[in-house]
Amino acid sequence: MYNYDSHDQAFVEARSREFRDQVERRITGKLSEDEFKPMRLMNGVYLQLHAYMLRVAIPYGTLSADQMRKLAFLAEKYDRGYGHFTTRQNIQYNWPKLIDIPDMLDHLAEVQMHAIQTSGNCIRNVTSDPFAGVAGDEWIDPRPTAELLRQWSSLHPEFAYLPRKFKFAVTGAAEDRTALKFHDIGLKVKPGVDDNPAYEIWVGGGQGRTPRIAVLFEDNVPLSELLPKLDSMLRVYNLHGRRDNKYKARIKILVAEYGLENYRRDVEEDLALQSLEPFEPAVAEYHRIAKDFEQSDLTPLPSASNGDNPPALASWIKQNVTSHKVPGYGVVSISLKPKGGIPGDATAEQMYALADLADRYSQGELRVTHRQNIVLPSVAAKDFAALHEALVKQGLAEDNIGQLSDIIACPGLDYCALATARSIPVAQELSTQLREREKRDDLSGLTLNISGCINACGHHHAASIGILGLNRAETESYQITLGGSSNDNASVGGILGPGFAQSEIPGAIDRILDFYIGSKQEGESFNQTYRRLGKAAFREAVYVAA
Amino acid sequence: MWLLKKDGSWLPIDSSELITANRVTPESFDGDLEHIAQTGQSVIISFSGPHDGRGFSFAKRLKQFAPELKLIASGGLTPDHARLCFQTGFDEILLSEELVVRQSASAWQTAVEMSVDKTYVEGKVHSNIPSIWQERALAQSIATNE
Repeated sequence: MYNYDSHDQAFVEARSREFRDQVERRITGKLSEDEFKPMRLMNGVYLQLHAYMLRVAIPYGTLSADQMRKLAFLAEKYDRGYGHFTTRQNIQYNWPKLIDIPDMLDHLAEVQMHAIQTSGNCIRNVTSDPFAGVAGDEWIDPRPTAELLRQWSSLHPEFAYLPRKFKFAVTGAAEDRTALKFHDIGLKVKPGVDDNPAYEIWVGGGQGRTPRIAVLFEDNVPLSELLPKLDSMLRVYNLHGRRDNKYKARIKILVAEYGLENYRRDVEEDLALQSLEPFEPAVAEYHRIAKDFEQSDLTPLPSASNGDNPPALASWIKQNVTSHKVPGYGVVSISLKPKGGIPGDATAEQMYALADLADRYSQGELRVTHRQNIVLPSVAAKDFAALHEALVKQGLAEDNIGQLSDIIACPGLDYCALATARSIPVAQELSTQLREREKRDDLSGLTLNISGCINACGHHHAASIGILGLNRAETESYQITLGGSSNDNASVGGILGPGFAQSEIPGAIDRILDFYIGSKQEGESFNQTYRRLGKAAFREAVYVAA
Repeated sequence: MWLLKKDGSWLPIDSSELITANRVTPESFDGDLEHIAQTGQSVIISFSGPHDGRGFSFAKRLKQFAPELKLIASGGLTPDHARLCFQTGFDEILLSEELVVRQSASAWQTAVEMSVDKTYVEGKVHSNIPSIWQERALAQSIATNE
């Protein structure tokens, strides 16, 4: 893991002091709410339906056990005993008092954490592959690049007031576990020359009311040119992105309306003017950072036999453990999707337990995934049984990773001021229904994502089955989309037809699954079946059969 | 009106003293940097409000094109914008009486000494102290030579 030096530590402590001063000036009236709003947002503080919400960054989804303990402590002391892990590898606290937030930031700084740029129209928390460094299909570890981006973008003086929020994802593996093509800029890290990485730069992806899949901006960009290029890409966007309509302000709209070639030309013209001096240390910085991520020595171990395992443990290993690049170890995903539970929520007690388990079984390290689960990245196969037993005691042993019941959901109208419908009760009911169905049907590989409004924080566009909650004539109505995907063959789901009342959703989902199970050919995925048969066939099965 | 300078000093100014300055807004900029550079020694760049950051990128680009130009920020800014202004190439910030009184003179006076006064890429705005990355590079260089 990356360890702060004295500069990093001084930086987050200074930012914490700065925010304390801003809160004080707001409380004493020196700053108007209009002036204060972007400052609090840039520090992850939202005003939600019932209270302020603090979003804390978990950079590229990596956490130490001590950091997890601190998150648990904050949930206990300043919230109502739980936190919510989000699709962008952050954690949200839903009930802090504004006056307490500077103290929370001080606590976070003690363990090298912060809330810098977790919201607002700036460069947000950089996300990455939760299996980084341990995945067998990895070309190069994406975390040094992600940390380099975190440092470059933190309190960047030029990009604090962009036309709209700006999201980066970085991966270095064959399988995309970051939803890379749904980001404003996605970077694929590949081996370059002289021990330096090179990059594919993808631009213009995003969800919201105008979902777009990113397009390739440039391939094989050397490390030494990466940051100047990104600086110019952001500068052109800052100058020319639309500010007249917030729904058309993301870079995806600029790229679509202005054209990729015109955008590329402007970036190159800007690059020609740029002073490269500030970026000269970047290559050395990358290698300094990379040293912190070098895998501590894991001794290869003989594979443990799972032949005699009890059924519950065998099923959990099959579903929740992924192969590790070092023989004898596994990457263990811990589901935060219990039957009937709230996706992504964890209690303080569970967080403390996860920290202890990370210390005991995974070199003190955890990850947060964009599907709102937790990962212990390096667990010896001989420890699977003991880990599973400990997870059962904490209610964290659900064996549904990669199943349809591994649902993504945003907080929706239960918390969010932007939401138009509730997400959480829909997810809770469906998870109960789907866990039962998964006992008889193979629903692995399908995804179900729920958003409580068109802003799509629940990634509904990018799921095999997406559910979007809307407000129609003061009634919650849920639109279903089919055929979306966030992997390397990213696709945007298509709207199936008219919306459903909340009570009608379980039946509609059952009919979709009945039709899929009854129609799929050998080895065919849900999206392949959907594309082969077309929307009309699914529509008939769902609406006519009703 | 008041002018806040990079070094934290500030002075009252009569608006007539700025009569020769070229006034531009980022939103009306047509891309012709050379034309702006030729029309005077000072350029006042107006921000349309505290949420609009175009002026920062505009200043950065203009300063790179014509380093001798004096760039002055104006508009509905807060003390928290001062670091951003000076790190993106502005030399001065033009403040209305209302902004100084409501946001407090002390907040503006200390604006350039705000606690986050350097970033990983940009150094301190008024004292030639390097960025965090440059400081690390310097330390590494000294360690290597020793």
